[in-house]
Amino acid sequence: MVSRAPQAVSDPLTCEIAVVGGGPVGLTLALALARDGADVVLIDAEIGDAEAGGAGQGARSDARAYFIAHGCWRIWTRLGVGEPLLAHAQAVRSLTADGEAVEGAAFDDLALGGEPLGWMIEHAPLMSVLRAAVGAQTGIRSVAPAVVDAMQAAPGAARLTTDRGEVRAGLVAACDGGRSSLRESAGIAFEGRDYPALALSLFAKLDRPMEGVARQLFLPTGPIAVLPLPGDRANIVWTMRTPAAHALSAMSTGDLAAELRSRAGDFIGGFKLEPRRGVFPLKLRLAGRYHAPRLALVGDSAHLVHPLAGQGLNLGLKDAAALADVVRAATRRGLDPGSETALEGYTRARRADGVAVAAAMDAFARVFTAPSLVRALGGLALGATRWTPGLMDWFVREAGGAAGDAPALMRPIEADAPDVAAS
Amino acid sequence: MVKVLAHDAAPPRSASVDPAEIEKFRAMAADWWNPAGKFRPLHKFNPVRLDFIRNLAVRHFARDDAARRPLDGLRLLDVGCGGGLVAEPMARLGASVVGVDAGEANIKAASVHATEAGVDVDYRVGTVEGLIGAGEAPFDIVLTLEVVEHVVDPARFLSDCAALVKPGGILVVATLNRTPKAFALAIVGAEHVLRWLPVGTHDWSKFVTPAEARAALVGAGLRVDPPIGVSFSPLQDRWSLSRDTGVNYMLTAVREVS
Repeated sequence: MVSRAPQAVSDPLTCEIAVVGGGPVGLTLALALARDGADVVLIDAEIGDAEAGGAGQGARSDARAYFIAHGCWRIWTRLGVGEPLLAHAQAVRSLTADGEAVEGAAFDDLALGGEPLGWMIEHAPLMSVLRAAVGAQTGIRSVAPAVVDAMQAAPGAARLTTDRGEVRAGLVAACDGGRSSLRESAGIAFEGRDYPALALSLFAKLDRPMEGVARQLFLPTGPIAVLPLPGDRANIVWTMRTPAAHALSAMSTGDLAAELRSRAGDFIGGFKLEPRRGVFPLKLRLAGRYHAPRLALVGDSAHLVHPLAGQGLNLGLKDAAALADVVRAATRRGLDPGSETALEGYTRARRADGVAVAAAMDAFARVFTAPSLVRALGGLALGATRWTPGLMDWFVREAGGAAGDAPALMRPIEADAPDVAAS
Repeated sequence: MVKVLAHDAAPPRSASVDPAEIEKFRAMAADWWNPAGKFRPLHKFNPVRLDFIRNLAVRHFARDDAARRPLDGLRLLDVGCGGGLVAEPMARLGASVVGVDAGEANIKAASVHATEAGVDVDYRVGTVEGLIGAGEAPFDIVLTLEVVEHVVDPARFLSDCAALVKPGGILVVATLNRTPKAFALAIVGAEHVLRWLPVGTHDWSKFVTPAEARAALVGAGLRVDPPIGVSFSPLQDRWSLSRDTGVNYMLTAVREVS
C-alpha cells in the first residue's frame, strides 16, 4: 500500500526497520522482513504502482536484464514471488565460451535434478512483480516519493529526516544504491577502481532460438555475452574499452546493429536490435564495512561490481537474505536487531563474499583492459579460450548458490525440515 | 546528500538525577553492551543461553513458538542481572521482568540502557534474600546465570532462588562445574591464556557441581532435570549446547503444582 507520508515532524512514523530504496534488493528485503513479522517502512524516491502491479508507469524501463543464479532465485521462491516471476524469466541451462561448453562441478548437481543454472529476467517485469508483492504484503508501509535528508543514530533508534517527515526505526537498511547517501553520512569508506572500459547493454530479437544457452565470445576488443530472454530475445552485453564504447553508444540503432553484425554476426546469427540500450562504466567499489550504528548496507550501497548480467544483484539478494537471517535470529532472542551485536554478524556473514566477487572481477578487468601485448600474453598464459573469465567463472561459482552457511532463504526447498523459520 | 549530524548524546533530564552521574552510567552501559568490549565473552555466550531459555519457556508454558512475544504475561526474575544482557531480551519477548543485582552501578547502567532502548524492566539493587524478606510474590521464571559461583553460600543462595519460583514455575541456573577440565579451560584458558576474562574473575574452589546444585534445589522442593552442557567450539568461534557438562552447564528445575 502507498500511504501518505506524515505531515508534521511532531508525528514521526515509527517502525522496527526502515528500508531505504525501492529497487529489486530493497523490495526483496522489505518482503522478507515483513513475512517474518517485522514492522517495515519502505522509503522510496519513486512511486511504485503497487496496486496496478502491471508493467505500467511505475516500472522503471531500465535497460537491464539480470542473470539470477539458481540459489538466489530460491529467495524469491521462498518469498512467494517465484511463480509470477517465472512467467517473465528465461531458464539458463548451459554456457558456452567461444563455442565451447563450460563445465563446472556446481553444474552437475543441478543437472542431476534437471534444474537450470539460473534464470534471466528483465528489470521492468521484475520490478512489477516485486512491487505488487510488497503492496499486497501486510506489515509494510510505503513512503514515496520521499528523499532522506539525514540520518541520526541514537541509542534506542535511528531518526531519518525525509522531505515527507520523520521516520524512526530500530534499524535502517540502506538499499539506496552505489551512491548511497546513508553510507556517506555514516562515514563508511567505499573504495575500488575505475577501469577504462564500459559495458553496453543491448536487447535484440534473434532469428535462431537460443534454447537456454548463455553464450560468450571473446573478441580482441573485449567479450560479448549473449544472454537468453523469453521469446527468442537476448540481452547482449558488449564490454569494451571506453573510447570505442562511447563511439558505439552514440550510434543510431541501425549503425550499431551493423557494427555488431560485422564483429559478431556469425556468432549471434540474424537479429533485430531494439532501440533501448544502457551504458554502464566498468568499476569496482567495496564498502570497508557493511554496517554502522543502526545502519546496514545492502546491495549496491555495499558493493559495485561489473554490471554484466547482474552479478551485483545476486550479491545484493544474498545480502538481503543474510540480513533477514540476522534480524530473525535477533528478534527470536529478544535482542535488538539494530544493535552492534546483531549487525557485526551481518558484516561477518556478507563482506567476504563481496571481497571474493570483487577480486574475481578485478582479475578479469585487469587482463581485459591491459595493453594488447599484455593481453595477448595473458591469454596465452592462461590458455586462451579455455580461460573463461568474468561471467563464466562467476556463473560456475554461483550456479549452486547455496553452499556452506547459506542464509535460510537460500537453502534447498526440497530439504526443508517442517519448520524452516526456526533455524 | 545526507547531512552528518552529531550523535544524539543528550542525557535524559530529571530534577533528582545528576547529568554527570547519568553520563557515567551511560558509559558503563555502553561497556556492558559492546560486543567487542570487555564483556565480549558474555556476548558470545548470550545467544545460546537466550535460545535455551526461550525454547524452554515456550515448551514449559505451551506457548506459540512463532509468536513475537511468546513470554507475554509471565513474571520473570533475573538474579544477578548485571547490565541486563538477559533481562532486557526477556522483556522484549514479552515477560514482565524484575532484574536484581547487588551492584548499584550495574543496576544504574542497566536502567539507562533499557530506558534508551524503550524496554520496560523493573531493575532493583538487591539480593534474593532481600526480595524474600520484602515479601516479593513468586515468579513464573527465575534465572540465575553465571552467579552462583560468585556467592558466599551457594546452597543457601540456590534454595533462596528456588523459594521465589511459584508452583508450575521454572528455575534456570547456569554456572561452572568444579572439575579439572573447568580449571584448565575457565581459569587457565579463559583468564590466563586467552585473556577473555580478567585474572581472578573466577575462583575454582567456589565452582558448584551439578550434583551439589541439584541437592540444594531438590531440598528446596523442586524437580530437577539433568544438566545440559554448554561448550565452546574454537573452530566455529561460538558456543552451543552439548552433552559435556564438565565446564559450563545449565540446570533446569520445576516447582510442581502440588
